Amino acid sequence: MRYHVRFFGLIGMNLKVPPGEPITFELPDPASYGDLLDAIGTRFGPLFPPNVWDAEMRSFHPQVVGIADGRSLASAGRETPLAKDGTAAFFVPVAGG
Amino acid sequence: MGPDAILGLTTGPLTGTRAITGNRFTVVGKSPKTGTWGDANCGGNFGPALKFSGYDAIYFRGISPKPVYLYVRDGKAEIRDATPYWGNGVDVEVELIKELGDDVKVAWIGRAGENKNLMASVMNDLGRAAARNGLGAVMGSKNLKAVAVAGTQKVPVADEAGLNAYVTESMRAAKAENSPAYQLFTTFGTSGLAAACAMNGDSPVKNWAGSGEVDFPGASNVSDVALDKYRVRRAGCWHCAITCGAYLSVPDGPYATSGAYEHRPEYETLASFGSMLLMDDTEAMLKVNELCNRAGMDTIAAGSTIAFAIECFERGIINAEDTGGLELRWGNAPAIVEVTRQMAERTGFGAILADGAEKAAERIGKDSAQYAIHVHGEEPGMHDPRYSPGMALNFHLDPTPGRHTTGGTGELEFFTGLDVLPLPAPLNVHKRDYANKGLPHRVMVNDRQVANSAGICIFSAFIAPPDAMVRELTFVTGEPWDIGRVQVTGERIQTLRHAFNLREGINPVRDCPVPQRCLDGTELKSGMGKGYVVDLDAMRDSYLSIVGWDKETTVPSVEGLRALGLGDLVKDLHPQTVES
Repeated sequence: MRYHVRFFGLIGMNLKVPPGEPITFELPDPASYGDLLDAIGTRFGPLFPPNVWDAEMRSFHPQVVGIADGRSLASAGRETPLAKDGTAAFFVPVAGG
Repeated sequence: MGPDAILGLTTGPLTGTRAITGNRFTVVGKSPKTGTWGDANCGGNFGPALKFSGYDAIYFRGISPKPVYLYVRDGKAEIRDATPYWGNGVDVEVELIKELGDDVKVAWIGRAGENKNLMASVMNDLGRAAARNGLGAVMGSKNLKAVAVAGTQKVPVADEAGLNAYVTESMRAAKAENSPAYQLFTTFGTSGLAAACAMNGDSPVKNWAGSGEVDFPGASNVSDVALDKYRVRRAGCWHCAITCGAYLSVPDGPYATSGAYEHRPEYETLASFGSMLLMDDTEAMLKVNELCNRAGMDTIAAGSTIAFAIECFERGIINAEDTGGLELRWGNAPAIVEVTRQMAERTGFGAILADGAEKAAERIGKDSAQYAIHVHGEEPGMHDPRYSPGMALNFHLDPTPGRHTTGGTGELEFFTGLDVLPLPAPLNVHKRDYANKGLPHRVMVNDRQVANSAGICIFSAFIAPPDAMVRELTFVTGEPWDIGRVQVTGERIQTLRHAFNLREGINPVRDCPVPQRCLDGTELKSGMGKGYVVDLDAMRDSYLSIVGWDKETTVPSVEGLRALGLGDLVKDLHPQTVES
């Protein structure tokens, strides 16, 4: 199934992709969050700085916030199901000003 | 804004020291916008220079018969004629530095303050704003155009060698770690996540009626990379290693900026003029930011008030005849830029909007009040409680209504994964666990009150170790500080701010409701607040129980006041107790 991912701000810059622009992955159907992390790691893993992407765990660093299908990924396990043709986003949290 | 009104420019014990981000000052007074306690905390270069001039704080009372500025150098103060500078914006800062010396730093008001607009800010460092609560209007009411300070006085530090060694090592470690948040801040500042915040539901959209990119698809045009194309150079506050600011310039076109002095818009500005107005024109965004900074105008209040006006226009409550021909429609950049200019000058339809949404609704009448989104007269910060529910508690209970920078669980709900306090165990905050917000809200508010009062930036959490503030307070004051002392001190400050409002007859339970539009996500089509309704009453009850304030009147208990060392307030807040 197709699944879309958007990397915002500095994370997008690390990957040399326009921040916020959707990148489409082909995942198994049905797919889980773990499938998505594996696909992200395969395609982009070496481009992430070590404090963004944990290569050993094939997962994002805790300082990176993830959202999938409108819900936080903060407590999501690798088995969390993803929606067909859904969207996830990853960014570093800042606020204020 | 009468002659008895007091306006203060204050620093903290860490201001002007080597403490990490030790450059903040706070403008204080009674807010003419809300009638509550008012304070506005600001970085830049004025705070340290005020300390070097020989003073911790300066307070003003009375009204000058003509425009003046105060010049302070090495303990000597002089009031001088400011008539030549009246009508200037940032130029007054440039001109006073030319006249008085390169070491002079200036706090000033622009046209908004001169015109006593209730959203007027006190500015410094070519465009950094002590923005909230309309304290620039108080300065303007005194005919006080600027305060220029300089000097060579040394800020006392009890253990200077210890402070220097600690800060040097902390900075070395932070740069070695180079965390994503640190990288993001040094690269883009708070603009770094404007698009992501618009997408995830943190940014209010379309006068708080929408959420997410479904309602604001152009968010990326007024965020990080899009703005960075206009960057001239980076710009940080005094001795700040984060350097989250930058100067931008639009060289030509209808929104050409006036020079190289234009600060990069902060996140709050990008939301209040971006997602709130559906304005995704990058250059128009830079122009309204310049207009607000030069006029000294709170961008949160300005953008939010224009959002109210646009909603009134779109709903037919007002029309082009009312607005002097301005087509105030969602995303109409030329009209938004023009009405911003008019608000600063208090001319045309801008005069209707110049004091904020609540006053504008009173002037427009009809059914407009329901679209004026404010908390006791102040437009809330640009963080949607449906995304971070704890923000609603700050908007509601902070003595400066609508405030977003006074800690609270909203911050924890946003900064997932950051250790911001030196606690023995993490504060477990679950967004929708409304009945248990009291304790973490208390801890975060108390900590932030001390940070703001000490003179450091709340963004220091991106670079400094969690225990930095207590270590630095110990080095500077020579007294032992720990998290417990911070908590007691912070609660004393917060209680004192709250007591000011109680004395003025303001009870937040009764007088500071958060508009339902900011709490009810059942009609939203996207964003992480979709489908949720924030239970503000449960959050408030939880906090009031924890701090021992009455659940109806919010009056702190006698025992609580005495435990905090605020026994002198008992006679005002509990007169019957004193009599008995």
